[in-house]
Amino acid sequence: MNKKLITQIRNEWKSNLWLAVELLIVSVVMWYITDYMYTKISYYMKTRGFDIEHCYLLQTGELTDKSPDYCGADWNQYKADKQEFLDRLSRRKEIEAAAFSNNSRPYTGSNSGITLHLDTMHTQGYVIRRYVTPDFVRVFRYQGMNGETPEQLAEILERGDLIPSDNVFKHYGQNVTDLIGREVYVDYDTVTPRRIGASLLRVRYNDWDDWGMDQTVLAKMPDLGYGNELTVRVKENMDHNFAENLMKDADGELRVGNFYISDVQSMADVRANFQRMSTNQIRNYLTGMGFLMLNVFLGLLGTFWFRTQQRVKEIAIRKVTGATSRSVFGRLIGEGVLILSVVTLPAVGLDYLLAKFEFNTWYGGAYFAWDRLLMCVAVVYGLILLMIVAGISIPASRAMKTEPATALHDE
Amino acid sequence: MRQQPVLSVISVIGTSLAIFLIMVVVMMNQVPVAPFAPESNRDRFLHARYVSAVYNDSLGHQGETNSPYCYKSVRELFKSLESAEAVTAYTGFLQSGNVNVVGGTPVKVDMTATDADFWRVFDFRFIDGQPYDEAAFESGLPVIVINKSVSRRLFGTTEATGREILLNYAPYTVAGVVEDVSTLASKAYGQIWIPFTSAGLDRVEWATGITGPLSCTILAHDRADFDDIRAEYDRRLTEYNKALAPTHWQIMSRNRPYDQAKDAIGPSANNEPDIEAKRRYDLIVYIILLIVPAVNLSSMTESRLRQRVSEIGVRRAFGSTRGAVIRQIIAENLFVTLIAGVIGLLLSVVFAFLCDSMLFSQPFSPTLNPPKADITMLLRWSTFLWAMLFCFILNLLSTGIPAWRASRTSVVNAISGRQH
Repeated sequence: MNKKLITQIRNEWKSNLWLAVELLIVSVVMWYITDYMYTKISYYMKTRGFDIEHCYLLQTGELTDKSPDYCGADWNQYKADKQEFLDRLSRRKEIEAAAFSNNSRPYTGSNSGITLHLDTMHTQGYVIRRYVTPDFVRVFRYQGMNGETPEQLAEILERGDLIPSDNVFKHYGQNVTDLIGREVYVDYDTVTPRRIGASLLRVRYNDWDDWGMDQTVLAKMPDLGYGNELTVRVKENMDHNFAENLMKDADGELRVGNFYISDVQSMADVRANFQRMSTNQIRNYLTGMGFLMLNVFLGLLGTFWFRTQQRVKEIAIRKVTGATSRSVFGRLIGEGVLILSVVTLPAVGLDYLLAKFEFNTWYGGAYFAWDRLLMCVAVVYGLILLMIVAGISIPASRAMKTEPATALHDE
Repeated sequence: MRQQPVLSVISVIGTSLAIFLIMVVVMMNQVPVAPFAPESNRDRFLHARYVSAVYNDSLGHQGETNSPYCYKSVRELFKSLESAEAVTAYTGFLQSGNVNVVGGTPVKVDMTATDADFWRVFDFRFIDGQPYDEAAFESGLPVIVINKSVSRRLFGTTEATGREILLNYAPYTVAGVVEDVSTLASKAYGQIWIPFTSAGLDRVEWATGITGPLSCTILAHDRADFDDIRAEYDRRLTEYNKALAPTHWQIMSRNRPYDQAKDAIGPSANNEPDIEAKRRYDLIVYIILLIVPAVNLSSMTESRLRQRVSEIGVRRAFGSTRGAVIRQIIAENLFVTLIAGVIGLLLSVVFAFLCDSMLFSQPFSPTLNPPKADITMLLRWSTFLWAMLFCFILNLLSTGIPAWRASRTSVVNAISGRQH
């Protein structure tokens, strides 16, 4: 049977060559996309270290001197008003926690950096400084490495301690968990030591990649003047009409001094907007993959349609000599599967070269890993196989129905 | 075609699908750079969205900031460029504003705060009134330009010039009403526009004399002037950095300002966009989108030609040259390709219209309002030319080798039917 199959493939080698070339290109491109998807899904599956469900970003504004209600530009009054504004928000019955922060919230594109120094150890690379009011960790439900709850972390921030992510001294082989209680110096300040109050469970910068190793240091903002983001967590059963209700009070209770609320956005919307570059790319790649698969389907459908038409007499003779409909079907499908299997070998070679020369996606410290390569190749093989079966089935089932008498009677 | 209806239909579907997808990619690449009102002069724009500066002092302290500009740095670096036709500064990040008429319900809108040159650089269509002028800008008058939808919502009409609205609890007078602007006009977009001096944004500085809330767009007389403008900018930058020396801050150029194509691919302030990498990437995408269907179609073309071997043999026997046979086959096939190309192009335009908010959604969009595409962005002469070009390439790729092989068929074998 197999020998016959190979002979048959050889006989049809001209059109099989086209198929093989197509499958080779498609296999390599689809591997590239599958590899990309593998990395993206792997990132996506990791824990975020924060929770944005029931969270909202409030856009605030300040009155200008053009407004009749303008309260002047006294700096101390400004800060007192900002605090009162935050307090009024926090007291609302539907709000669980509210916080000001500076370039800290999830899915922001704006960052501030910080360096820590402990004896001879210094942080390396970009460490994100998250200046927050203590309830920030309750809004996004940050957690400590030692199981500290958001409430406990908030207390630690309140007393002025720092909460670095566990990895900021990783390059010295040192976990921050083992440094809790130690004193560090911040940036160029060599005078005022700060205490490490806890080690933070990794907080991801976004869902789809691994920006800056997610190094961060949480600290209570020294001055409310830093607050450029206002976020809130709404109690679980109180999301309904939250934005509408809040905006109703925007003109009354929630106007303090020069402050007012201009807009309420759910963090889910904020996230979708922030990650659009990644999600668009994923969408484009998946569409491209669908296009390639459809091409394989059409190519096989066309080629085998023609082939079964040409071979109708041969199929009829085989049926006369005892071949079942099933074996006719199996023979045709087998032809496609064999071509794919043969082509997969050079395809793996090309995939390997692409990964070795780092044309694919970086993940987990590398472009290449055997398990990742083989897994992606297997997925690609499976997907193309599906298309082959789908593409050949239609002409093959037609061939199965060949009535030998009619076919051979032809002329 | 009629001899092999199934193969022909599959060929047409395959070709349409290929042209459809390629044209969708063309449109996705075109929308961020193609000119349309109010950004009709995109080919003459140079953008400076962000400024980057480094800090180095004698104690070895270092720092870096990447952010939009403050008005002072805009003035010193861009506003007085002599080689440019006009330069505008505007808030690079949209702000949300609440507008209402006295006693009415506030409406949340996207607001862009600008200078007066904004209206020279971008070609808005005024339905009513006119833009605010330099004098209004300089004196920080509370005047406002609103779009048609906001005008209708607040006043029930598009004739609103001279009427008063409350913007963020401050009274503003409507100077003019403009046609709605698509969010795809990423620089000019807004639903309302005010002089930034009226909101005190000209005084906002984050890093002294360097960063603030403003971005810049330069309109050149001609693209050919880009080099002169950049050279003049570099001279100004050198001068300005001398003035900044006592603060220990120095502005880095990062080869700014960028033209539309370069600016469109780089939302990040910290890196120079790599336009060459983007072009290489696009080229690979087009090649893959062409090659795979071409190989596919080649296979089917060859199948079709195998049935016509005797016809080709007869033709060759009567003196037709190989070249003539190849030309004829390619021309015949071009007909099919063009029909399929038209179907693909039509489908892509319809698809782009129906799915514009998904297809053209912008990374880091300043607004949550979805993008809206219109006919002037999608259908341009260049779109047709690209579609034609891709059809020709696809046809040549998918027919070339089969036609060449068919033409080499030996006449005797072909006619005798020993080869098929």
